[in-house]
Amino acid sequence: MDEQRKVMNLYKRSFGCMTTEIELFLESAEPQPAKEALARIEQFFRSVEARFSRFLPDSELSRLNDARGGQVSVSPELSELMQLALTAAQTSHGIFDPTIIDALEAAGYDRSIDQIREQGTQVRAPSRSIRPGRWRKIHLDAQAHTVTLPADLRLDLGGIGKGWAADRAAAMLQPLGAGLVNAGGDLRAWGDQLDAEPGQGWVVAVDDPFWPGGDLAWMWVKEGALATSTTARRRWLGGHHLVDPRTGRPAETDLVSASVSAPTTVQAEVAAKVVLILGSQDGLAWLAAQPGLEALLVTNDSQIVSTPGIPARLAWIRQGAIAQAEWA
Amino acid sequence: MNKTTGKRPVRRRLSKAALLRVKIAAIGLSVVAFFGGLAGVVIANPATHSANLARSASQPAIIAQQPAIQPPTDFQPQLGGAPLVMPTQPQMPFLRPLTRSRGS
Repeated sequence: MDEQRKVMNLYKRSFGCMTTEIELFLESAEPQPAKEALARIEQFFRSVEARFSRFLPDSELSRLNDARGGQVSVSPELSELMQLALTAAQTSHGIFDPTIIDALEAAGYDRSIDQIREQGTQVRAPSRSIRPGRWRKIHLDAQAHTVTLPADLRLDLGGIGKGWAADRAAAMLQPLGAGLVNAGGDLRAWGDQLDAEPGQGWVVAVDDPFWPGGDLAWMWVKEGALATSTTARRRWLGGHHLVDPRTGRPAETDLVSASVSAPTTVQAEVAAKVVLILGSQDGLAWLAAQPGLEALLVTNDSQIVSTPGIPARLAWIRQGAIAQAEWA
Repeated sequence: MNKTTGKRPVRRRLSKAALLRVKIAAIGLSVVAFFGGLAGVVIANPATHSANLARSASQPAIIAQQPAIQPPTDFQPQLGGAPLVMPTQPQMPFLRPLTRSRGS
């Protein structure tokens, strides 16, 4: 075992994709296969973006949205992604809703975030056609890979698509050695970080929402996923990208960020978004009914709230927080 | 003039050297009092003191990464309403995060 660890190296590849930064880590004793595998995963991410971005008119998702009203055959991958999205909508009682694209556009998220940052955007009043629960009208045949969207409904799979890609990439890399896939903060880890004790996993920094680039905490991620949702990023004058389906407007919540650990990146990404929209009280109540999920929340007034399993996963937390906890 | 003795009080003058020694001593005492008081204030604030001690002992590399803008210091960790007990020392100080969950 010691001999094996001595020759292990960590290979990293990072690139911009899906309007965010993707980082891939893989531990391997063989350089060439590791580098080739990471290159293949980059291509995989680019293909996912090309197929499932709502901002690309030729993507498979855009073609499905254009063909709404009729039955459409889709790829097995899009069928799987839609199945995950509809399950998430059901589990979250509609707080996660892949059909709120009209509300997102009304809130100003009508182009990629890079274009919004360059050109600005306009916030409009949400359309009256935006109603909660419209996702129930989607008909998906997951066996035949066919979808029927109502004529007045389009899909946005941006967030969950990133998580799905991270999970798929992890599954592809896992046979080659321990590793980690980070898709813009939604990450999946397997095996142990080099120099960690066996079974410890990977230590990951959690961003401080009030202090971009600064660490709020370091958390152990063991054979699972961690995702953070925040209103501090992807925001513009008059709005942010986390729309509450109940109102059709950017969520008014007492939380500024929610970091959730879960077995898969899709679960973590969805749960982080749901908890952020629900707020700390309802969010914690919802989490308590979801097995395998733990969350570290930061409120707008700088309080940290967590589920009971979080302290055991913390490798470190910013000392200011500790001092306040000890002396409050 | 002393009314009972009728004698003029003797006015004792300090020599220049003695006066200099008194001035030096006064300045010295002022300096000691100033810095002593300052140290007292820092040590009397247990939150600042323990945070500084823990930070300097455990996280020099992280401190070096931190930008000049200081974050808010009014965090109040809670665990379902109860105080949150968290590790004050990294469990493995030499193991650093290679990546971050920065939020989307």
